[in-house]
Amino acid sequence: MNTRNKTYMAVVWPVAGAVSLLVLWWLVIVVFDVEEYIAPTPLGVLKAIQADFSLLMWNLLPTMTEAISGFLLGNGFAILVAIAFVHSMTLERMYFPIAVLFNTIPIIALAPILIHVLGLGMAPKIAIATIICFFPTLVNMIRGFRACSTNELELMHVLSASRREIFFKLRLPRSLPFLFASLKITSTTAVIGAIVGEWIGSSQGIGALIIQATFNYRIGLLYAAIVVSSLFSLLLFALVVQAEKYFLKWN
Amino acid sequence: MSFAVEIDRLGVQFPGENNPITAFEALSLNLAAGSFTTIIGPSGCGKSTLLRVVADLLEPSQGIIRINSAAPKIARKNRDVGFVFQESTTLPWRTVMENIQLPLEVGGWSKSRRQGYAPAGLLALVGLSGREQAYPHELSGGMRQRVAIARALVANPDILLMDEPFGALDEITRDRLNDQLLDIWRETGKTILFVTHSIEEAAYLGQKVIVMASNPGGIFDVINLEEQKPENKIDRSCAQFFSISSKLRTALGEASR
Repeated sequence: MNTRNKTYMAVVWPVAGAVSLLVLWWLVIVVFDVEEYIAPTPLGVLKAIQADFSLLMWNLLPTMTEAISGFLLGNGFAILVAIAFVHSMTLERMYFPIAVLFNTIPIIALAPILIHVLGLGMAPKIAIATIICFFPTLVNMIRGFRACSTNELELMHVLSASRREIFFKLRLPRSLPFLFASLKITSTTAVIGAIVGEWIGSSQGIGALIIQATFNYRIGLLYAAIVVSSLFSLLLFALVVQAEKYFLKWN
Repeated sequence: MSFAVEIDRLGVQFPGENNPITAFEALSLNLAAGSFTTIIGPSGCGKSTLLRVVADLLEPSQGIIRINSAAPKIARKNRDVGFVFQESTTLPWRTVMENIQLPLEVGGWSKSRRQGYAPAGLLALVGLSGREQAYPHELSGGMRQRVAIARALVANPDILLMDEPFGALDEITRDRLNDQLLDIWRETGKTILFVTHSIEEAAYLGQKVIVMASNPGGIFDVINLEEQKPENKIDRSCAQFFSISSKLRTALGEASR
């Protein structure tokens, strides 16, 4: 099979899979005669997106801001802390267990505290998205910075490379596959974090819209909000994949 | 005669569970500048350990070591020593050219007054012209090892330490690289210390072959081949080479006993 055909097939099969499930969804609704206010058909969702497009976009904007801010902050902090841990065994011994402990707190339990402290604006949502992104990247980057082989470190030693040079010329490039693995995970969890935050206390954003739509029995809008947030996650994920392709040509 | 490397009653011990484990002790050895010496010995005789001490990758427990009359640490900082590992240790995110230039980017090279080689010329020397922009994963194992040799040479060290550099390669590639390494040695006049576990390789490359023994580790015999191999050249299929190899094999057998 030639390359072009391969790329073509790589698109065709997942699309066929998605279409088959949509058809199944639609069949279930028609065959069991499910009422519109219980569950809409795929077409009903599409209609709801069209009808409430500006409302959806208006609410997507704060969610986007929160998710992207949290994504950047959480990953940024995690990388900085991992750098500190890799260069100081003491720091790692002191604070890594605390990071693990902190990670065991369910984010849903943390959200009310953050809202209590930071108010009802975007700040607590950004904080939740940040926290949710922090841990996976911390763990991955600690591993990533240590992923260089003994030979590679010895090579740097023979060349009398400084710690800084070892970091930038060896540890950092070595850690990139680990970073991107984590960025792929956190690009979607950041959106979840933002929505969870909005869910608990907000008047705007996709999370708030989901709550409002549920209480008002606007099931079409509820589904539409879910689709929009999921499409946004997908977009973030795709951006990370593109960046990975660019930076990891060698991998 | 000036010595590039002087080793006097060198000993290395590793901390063991109960008693320290001795890699070797009281090892003395001098390498003439521009000489090609191979080291062969049973596994565990400390041949790689010796190389690592010279490269300042390991502190000796006893004894003195001098490289160009200086301690290994100073020699390392001066870039007097180049090292080639068994695995090529090419950095996969760097092209061939970028890999070769790595030593010129770190360790204060820009401030040193040492005269390095032109990377392009080195690439030609190891026979990789035209592959400057290739990434290591696009190269064969033998080609990657040639990149590693060029990288070890680029800072123009006086001494080249090679730790079983061709050990993972097939025999045809290995023979070809041996010939190429001898050409490089003749061209550059480096002092080469080459560890191998192949008798043929030790016999073919070395002007001098050091046979090491284990338990206790140390030098068992030094076999001088300069008379049998004028200009360090020999045909692998000639009777002379066969007799050198047999002699080495016998010595190695006794050393392993």
